[in-house]
Amino acid sequence: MVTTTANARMTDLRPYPIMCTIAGHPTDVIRYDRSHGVDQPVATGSITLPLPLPEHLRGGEPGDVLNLPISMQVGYRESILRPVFNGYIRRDRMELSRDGYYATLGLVGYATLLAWPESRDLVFSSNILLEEFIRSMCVRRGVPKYRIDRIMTPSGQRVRLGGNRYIDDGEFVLPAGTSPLDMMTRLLRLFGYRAFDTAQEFRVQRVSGAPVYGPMGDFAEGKLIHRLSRERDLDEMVTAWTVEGATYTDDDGIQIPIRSIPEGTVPFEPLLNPPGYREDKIRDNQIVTQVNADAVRQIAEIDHSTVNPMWSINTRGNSLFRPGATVRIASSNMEAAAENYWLMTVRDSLDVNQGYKAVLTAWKGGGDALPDGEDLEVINVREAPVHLGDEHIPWYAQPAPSGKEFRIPITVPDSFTSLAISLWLHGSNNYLLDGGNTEASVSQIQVWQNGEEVGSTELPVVEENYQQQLPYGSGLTHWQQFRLPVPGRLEAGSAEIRIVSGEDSRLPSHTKFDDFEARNITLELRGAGHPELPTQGGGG
Amino acid sequence: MLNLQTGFGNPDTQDFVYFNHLVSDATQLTPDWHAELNSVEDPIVGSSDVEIQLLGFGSARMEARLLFHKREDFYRLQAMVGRKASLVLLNNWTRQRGEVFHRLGHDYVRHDNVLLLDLVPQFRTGGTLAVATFVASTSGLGVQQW
Repeated sequence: MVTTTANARMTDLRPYPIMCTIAGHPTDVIRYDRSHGVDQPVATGSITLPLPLPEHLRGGEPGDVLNLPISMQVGYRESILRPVFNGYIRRDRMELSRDGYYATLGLVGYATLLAWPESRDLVFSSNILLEEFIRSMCVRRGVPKYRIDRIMTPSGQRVRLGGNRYIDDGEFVLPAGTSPLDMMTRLLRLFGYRAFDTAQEFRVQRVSGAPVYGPMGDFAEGKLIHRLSRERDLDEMVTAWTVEGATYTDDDGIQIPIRSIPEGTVPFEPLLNPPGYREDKIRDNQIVTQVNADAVRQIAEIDHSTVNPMWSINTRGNSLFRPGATVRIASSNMEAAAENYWLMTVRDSLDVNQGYKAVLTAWKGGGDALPDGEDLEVINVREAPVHLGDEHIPWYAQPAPSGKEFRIPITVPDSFTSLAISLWLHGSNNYLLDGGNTEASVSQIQVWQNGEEVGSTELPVVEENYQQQLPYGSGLTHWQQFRLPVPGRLEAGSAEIRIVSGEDSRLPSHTKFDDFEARNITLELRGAGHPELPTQGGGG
Repeated sequence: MLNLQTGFGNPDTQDFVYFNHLVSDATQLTPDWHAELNSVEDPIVGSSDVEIQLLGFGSARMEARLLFHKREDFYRLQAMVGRKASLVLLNNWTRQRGEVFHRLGHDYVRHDNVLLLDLVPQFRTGGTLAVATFVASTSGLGVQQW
C-alpha cells in the first residue's frame, strides 16, 4: 500500500568524500565500489583516481602501485565514517580519453593471500581442529587480520580433520597443487561455515541454521528499501541426504566406506509430491570419520529441508553492512512477516553520479540457531578518557592534551594470533575530511612488545563538530564505538598499547597534531597458543 | 567604451587581456557564476517517501558576453582558451566573493584559478564581441558548502 503524498517525507543524506589511504598515505578517490560475500572468499573492489597519480604512487614501476595496502572508509555526515575495505591493489588500468584521464585500481581482500596452491603436500597432525588448520595457513601466508570462530558440529562437538589411522596415517594432508583457500572453503561449507573477507579482516563464521546475531538492519516496505525482490526455488529443497566420505581398507583387508544416511524414515513432504521426497548426495574424500559424515549430513538437512527464500535489496549504502551479519526483512505485499536473515552479499559503490548505494542479498537459513563459539580473551586496557594532540580544549573530557603519543602497559596471559582493539572515540583524523592531504600522517593505534611494533591500525575518521563544543566529559552520547582488528601476534608477557596522534604539517607548529580522545579501550585476543605449522611432504 | 580594468590573465603583468563584460541584449542582465548541487533521488518502495543524497557542488560556471577594445585583444584571449588565470570583474556585477580592490574609481573583484573553457566570437558592427565560458571551483569562489 502506498501512502498519500501528504504524508511523504524527504530524507536527505550527505555522503562524506571517500577516505582512502594507500600505504598509509591519504589519497583522493573519485569513486569506489566493493563486493563482499560469504560465498565470495576474496573480496574485490575498485577505486578511480584522476591522472596523473598522486605523488606517493608515482614512479611508473609496477611496485609503485601494485600490491600496496589500501584501506577505505565511507559514511554520511548524518552518521559516521566506518571501514568498508581493507586489502591490496591487485591491478591497475589507466586510460586517456575525451572523458578524462583516469586510473582504475582493482582491489582484493586479505583472503587473496590464501588462494595460491602450495607445490608440496602440507601435512598436519592427526585430529587437528579445522579452525587450527585455517589459523595455521593464515600465519604461514601472512594474513594480517583474521578472526576465526570455533568450528562446531550441530551437536556441539569441535570439528577435527584426519583422525582415521587407515587414511594418511590419520594425518590431514593439504595436497600439492591445492589452494588452501579452496580447501578451507570446501571443508567449512560442509559444516555450515564460510570463509570470506569482510571490510576489516578475513573471517570464518557459521552461516547455517537460524541467524545467531541481532539484526543490524531492518528492511520493510516504506523503510530504507529502493527495490526489493524475493526468489523461492523448490530445486534447492532436498529431504534425504546421503554423505559419502573416503573408503579405506581396515586391518582385515575389508573395504569400508564412510557413509551417513538419513536416520529413520524420511518424512513425506507435500511440496515435493510426487514422490514426496527428494534425494541428493555429498561426496568428499576429506570426510574420513563417521562423526564428521554425520555432521555434514545434519547440516545439509538443516540448510535444505525447507524452501529457503533469497532476498535482494537495493538500499542506501551503509558502512555497517557486513556479510555474515543479520538483517530483518518484512513485506506485506509479498506476505512475508518480519524475520531474521543472514546477510550473504554486500555490493556497494559511491560516486558523484549515483551517490552511495548498496545491493544486498539475504538468506534465511533453516531450523534453529546452531552452536557457535570463539576463544576470546579480553584485556581491559584503559577506561578513562585520554586526550591525544597538542591543544587545550575546554569541552573535552580531558581538556589538557597528553601529547603526540600515549602508552598503556598491559600483561598478556598467553600467546595469541588474532588481535583487535575495541574503543570509543571522537575527533580522530577529522582533518582528513578536507580531502586527501599527503602532508598529513594518520592517527593510529599500535601494539608493541619487546621493543618492537607488533602491528598497528589506522584510527577511523570521526568528525569533531568543533563549533558545537559538545560535552565529551558527560557520558558516551557524543562518542562512537569501533572495533579495529590489528595485524600481528602477541606472546605471553608484558606488552604496550600506543595511541599515536597524526600530524598535519600544513598547520602551525603549536597545533599540527590531531586532537582527539579515546576511552573504554579493550584488547580482544583470539587464537590462543602457538599455531600448529605443517610439515612438508612430497608432491609437486 | 569605459576604460575599465576588467579582463583575464595575470593582472600584475602584461599577460592580461582587457575586455568589458556586457549585459545581455534581451534581458538586460549579466549572468553570474552558477554552481549546481549534484544530487540523486530514490523513492522508498511502499511509501511516498524519497531519499535524496546531496553529493556536493560541481564546478561553478559563468557565460559572459565580452566586448574587446581592439581585435588583437580577442585573438590574445582566444590563445588563452584552456588556461587557468585570474578573472577580474566589476565587483557590483557579480555576487560571488573574491579579492576586492579599488582602482580609478571602480571596485573590482578578482577570482584566481579560473579556467577559460570556451570563447565563441560574435559579429556586431562597431566592436569585437565573444561569449566566454569561465569555470572555477566552488570553494575558490566561496560558494556556501553544505
